[in-house]
Amino acid sequence: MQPGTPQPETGPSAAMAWTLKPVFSARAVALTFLAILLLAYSAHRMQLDDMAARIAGLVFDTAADRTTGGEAGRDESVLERMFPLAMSERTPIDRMAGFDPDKLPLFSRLETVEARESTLDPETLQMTTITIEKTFLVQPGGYLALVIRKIIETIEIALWASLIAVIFSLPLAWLGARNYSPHWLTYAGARSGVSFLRAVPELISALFLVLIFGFGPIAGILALALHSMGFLAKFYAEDIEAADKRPQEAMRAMGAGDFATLRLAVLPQVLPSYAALTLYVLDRNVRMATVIGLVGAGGIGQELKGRFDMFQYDRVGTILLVIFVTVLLLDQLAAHVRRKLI
Amino acid sequence: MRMKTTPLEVSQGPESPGRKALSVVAATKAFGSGAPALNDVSFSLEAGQFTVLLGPSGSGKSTLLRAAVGLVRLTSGEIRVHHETGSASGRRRHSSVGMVHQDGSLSDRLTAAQNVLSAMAPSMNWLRVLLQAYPARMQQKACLLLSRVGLTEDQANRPVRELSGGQRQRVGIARALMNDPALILADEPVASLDPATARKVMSLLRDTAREYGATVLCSLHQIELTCEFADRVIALKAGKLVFDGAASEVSPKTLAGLFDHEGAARPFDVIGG
Repeated sequence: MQPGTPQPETGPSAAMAWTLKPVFSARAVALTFLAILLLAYSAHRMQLDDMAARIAGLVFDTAADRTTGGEAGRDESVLERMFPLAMSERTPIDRMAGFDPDKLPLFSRLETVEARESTLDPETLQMTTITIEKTFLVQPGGYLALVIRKIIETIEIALWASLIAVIFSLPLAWLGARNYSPHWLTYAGARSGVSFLRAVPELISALFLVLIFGFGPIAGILALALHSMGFLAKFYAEDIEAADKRPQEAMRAMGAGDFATLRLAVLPQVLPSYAALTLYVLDRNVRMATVIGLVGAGGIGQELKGRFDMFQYDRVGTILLVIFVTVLLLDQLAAHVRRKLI
Repeated sequence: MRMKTTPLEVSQGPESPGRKALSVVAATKAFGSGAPALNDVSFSLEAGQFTVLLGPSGSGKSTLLRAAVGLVRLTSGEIRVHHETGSASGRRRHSSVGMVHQDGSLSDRLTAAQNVLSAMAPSMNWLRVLLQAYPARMQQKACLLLSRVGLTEDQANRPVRELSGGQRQRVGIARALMNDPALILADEPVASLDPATARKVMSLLRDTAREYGATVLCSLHQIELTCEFADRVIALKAGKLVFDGAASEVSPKTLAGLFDHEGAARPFDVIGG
């Protein structure tokens, strides 16, 4: 279009002179450049350059790593000390109260080893080496069984936390859905309460709940349930708000109230999405339940923390393996259930 | 809840002349500051007639029908449903009006039968609604209605998203008939259907309404269907009533005036006007 012409020209000759909007504007390019500069500055502050060098050192096993790695007194790295994984349990029988050698637990055997011990002779006040026999009860897979019992406890914690979260999230979602909340105050209250629940990390609330309820699963279940509630109620409410309006209007036209409309026109629509959200929360709760055990809220985390603090990395390795397999299996199960529901 | 065991046979003309089913008195609705969607519309329907509300998109047909069931609040004027006597409380009004909506108004994941039965939810307690535990009497009635509109037992038990567009509108008609309405309001019931299916669904609506003794007010934008099914035509344009009379009185000139605005197709070409 030429300047000064009152009417825009049309036709192929004018179209040849069209300018199309550029895909990247100068502003976008400048902003991207600025963002890269900021990231570079932040990377230096966060020691990312050091991180890269040290990871390279670990991978390529260079001499530089040995000097900067900091593992001064130890020949073996933590990773090396995890193997072989500890599956069996060896307990000295003299430490077991009321042990009966005739009634051994299933699949277990006794093992006697000779051990040399240096003791101080009380009469001569000289160090002497004596040989004593020590008997152990060896349960192959005994430790694995303990870990599996613990992981089942962890899954139970996650299940109950998720169930409690779902039960309380449904009414919270009703109050927190803009188009169904009875009053703007209930809407604001529900939304801010839910945001608060979501804002408090499980680990922090678990710390306080352990103080209140003591060590064990109660604190774990409550910590996970509160956080999940904050997550589920928000997304449940947003699904209600985004649900197709036409079936809801049809119910309203027949004189249905909020409850009947929610039940018959909204719930059938949002159910697949609710199921997917709930499965995600369950999956997440299983993973988080292992973590909050670290602060004493029950489950496998408590065992993990104990073994880690005692430098028993072979046992830590077993625990990590069991957690990994469990999460993998639950993920498969969740995917299967989701396919069935949607 | 009354059960009609013998369908009422209503002949062409109203049985009791002068008995009104619906009165619209100076209905006006303005959305925001723009031109009103309804502008001083008044008419009344005689019981037993099939009236078509004709007009192009945006002429105020939907607004009028939605106002009649309380989905839209009028700016001024009123719409009275005449079946009930005395004061028209909200619930009583709804129970004597059935509404057939455009496609998409059914709950997709509920079965056809559950959708038809949902019409009874407003009169049931919350526990029954929660469990969708409808009394056997109602379930039988829903089955009768579904078979009347041409669905099989298998289709009645299928989620409506698995049904075709025409079948879904049939379910919508069955739902509208579920609480024995004296008046059926239909908002573009065949807008999403092909012409052949649309004709079938329209005749089903007309025939079932006659059998159940219900007055029909149906909004349409298809002229051929209007001429074929309407006893009476009320035409709206830009929120104003521009024509009110028998279907035979609709002239090509009226239609030209009704649909002649920029960008609109000229449907009178179709009928050779």
